[in-house]
Amino acid sequence: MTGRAIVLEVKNGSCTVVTADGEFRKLKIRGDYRPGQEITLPEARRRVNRLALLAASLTLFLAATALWRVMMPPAIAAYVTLELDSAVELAVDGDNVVRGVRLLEGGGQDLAAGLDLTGMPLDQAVEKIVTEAVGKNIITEDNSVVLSTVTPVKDPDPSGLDSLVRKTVESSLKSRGIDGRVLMGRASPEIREKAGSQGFPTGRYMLYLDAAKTGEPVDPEDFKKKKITSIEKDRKIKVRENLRVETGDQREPDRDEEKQRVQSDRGGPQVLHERPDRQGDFEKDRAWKPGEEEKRREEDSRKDRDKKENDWKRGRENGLKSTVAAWGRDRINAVRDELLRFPGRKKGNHDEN
Amino acid sequence: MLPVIELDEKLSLIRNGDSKAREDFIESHRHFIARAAVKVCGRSLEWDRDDELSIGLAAFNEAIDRFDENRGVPFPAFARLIIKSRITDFLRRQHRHSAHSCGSLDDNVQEYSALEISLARDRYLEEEAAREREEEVAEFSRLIGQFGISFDDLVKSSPRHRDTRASLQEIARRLAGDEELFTQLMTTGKLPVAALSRMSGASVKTVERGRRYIIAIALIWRFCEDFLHLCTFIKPPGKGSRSA
Repeated sequence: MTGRAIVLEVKNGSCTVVTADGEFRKLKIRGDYRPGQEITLPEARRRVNRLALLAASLTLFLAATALWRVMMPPAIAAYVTLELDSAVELAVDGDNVVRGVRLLEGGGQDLAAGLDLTGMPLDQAVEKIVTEAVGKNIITEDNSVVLSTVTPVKDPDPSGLDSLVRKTVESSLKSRGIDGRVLMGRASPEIREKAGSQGFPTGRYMLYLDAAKTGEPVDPEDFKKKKITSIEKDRKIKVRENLRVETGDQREPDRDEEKQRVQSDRGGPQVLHERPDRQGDFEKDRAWKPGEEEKRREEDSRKDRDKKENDWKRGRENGLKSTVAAWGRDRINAVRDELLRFPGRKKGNHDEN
Repeated sequence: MLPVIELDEKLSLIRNGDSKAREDFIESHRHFIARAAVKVCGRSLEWDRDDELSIGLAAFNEAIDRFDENRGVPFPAFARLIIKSRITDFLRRQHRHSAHSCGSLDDNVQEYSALEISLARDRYLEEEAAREREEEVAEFSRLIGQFGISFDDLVKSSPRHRDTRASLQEIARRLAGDEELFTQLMTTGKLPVAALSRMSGASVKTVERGRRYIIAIALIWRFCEDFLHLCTFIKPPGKGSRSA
């Protein structure tokens, strides 16, 4: 944009001018100018402020990112079920924020009806559900088993989800004076789909599968409708036989468990975990001890090693004994003397002679 | 009083043949004409006694007809130049002029063609206008220097944003038009910040921050007659009364 200006001062290759709209400016000039001279301002070069450009770019990027996040549906990282008499499934994203709520068969309407859980952090949502369940007497002192499953969608092992749910449920129950049990399960997407198609909440379907594996007749309706405590009582042995119980959250999985997990990921048998301090009487006799297999293996290998070593020693001694017996002591000594007559000793021998 | 803003409209009206408007316009500029004539003669003049004032009136009327905005010289400055030229010619003819450096356009007129005279007149006006502007800027620099303000200071304190500049110009316009506040500024050398803030509605901080700019612009507009070129060149934020 060009304009007119009056030169006010000429100094050191620059001049101070005042423009028609009253702006005082300093311009670099070439040529002969006098104060009072009216000049045409040069075409204003747009000065690119790099910092402003950077800030604008950053703002644009952030805005685009925010818009993208708003416009695009959030990616679901895992599904978490909370199963009491009623069941509800929460779809959570990678930041453990609830992005969807699904009421499952078994009276889920009662559990989460009227709760606005979408957009809430998972732990808060779980706490809210537990509070609601306690308030509606769905969780009581007599009926305080909470079954929960985690179904990872992308990451096969979403860190911390299981423990987050467990801790939240336990602390919520504890704060309300209820001594509850939390059963955590890890399901594959295939199992979740099958459970849904057959009208099961995921966790109950896993219990059902475990019970069915025993070969004894099981009624699916029992696993759909009955309380978990009732299922445990009715099918005590069968259900518990199929439960793999951990002694702690931090235990490294052994080979068998790893194998079972691989099977689980492929849609095979699932694993349900219960904390050791919540173990029932039936588990005490059969409690799995960590590292037992490894100890046994180490013991076996140690025994093998000792045995081989003993055999070798024994063989060497036997070999020496048999050689002495066959050759006789004198001959052996003669051979030894002969062997000792190496060149360095010949001179000495001659001197002796 | 010289309502600078409405000059273009009035001149346009007069040129379209409105004789009443011409008479009113000349009448309203009697003070301006008298000041210009006094400046040329270097002595006090009285209407009805001194011919220089009558010549000044005639020259002002001539300036109305000859004014061309494309010359880049504002009308008041142009009129003043014509007045100066005509009175100088008169004084020469009367052999009563003092030692003025400015010359007459009509010397030896008979020896030159009309075209040459016209060209010479334009050149004279151009040179005179440039000289006047230079003097004006020097005088302005001296005046703001009395307030401790330099042109570099004005560059630094001049708002870059047009709206901010307009708001400071509005404050300057109010200052230039308020007798009491302007007298206070001239006597104390300090800007009456609080009073201007109350008057304009701008914050004290805004007025204080634009102190040097407000003073400079107010001086130009208050002494418009002395800074004719600057005063007519710098456009005020909106139409309002500004005197020269």
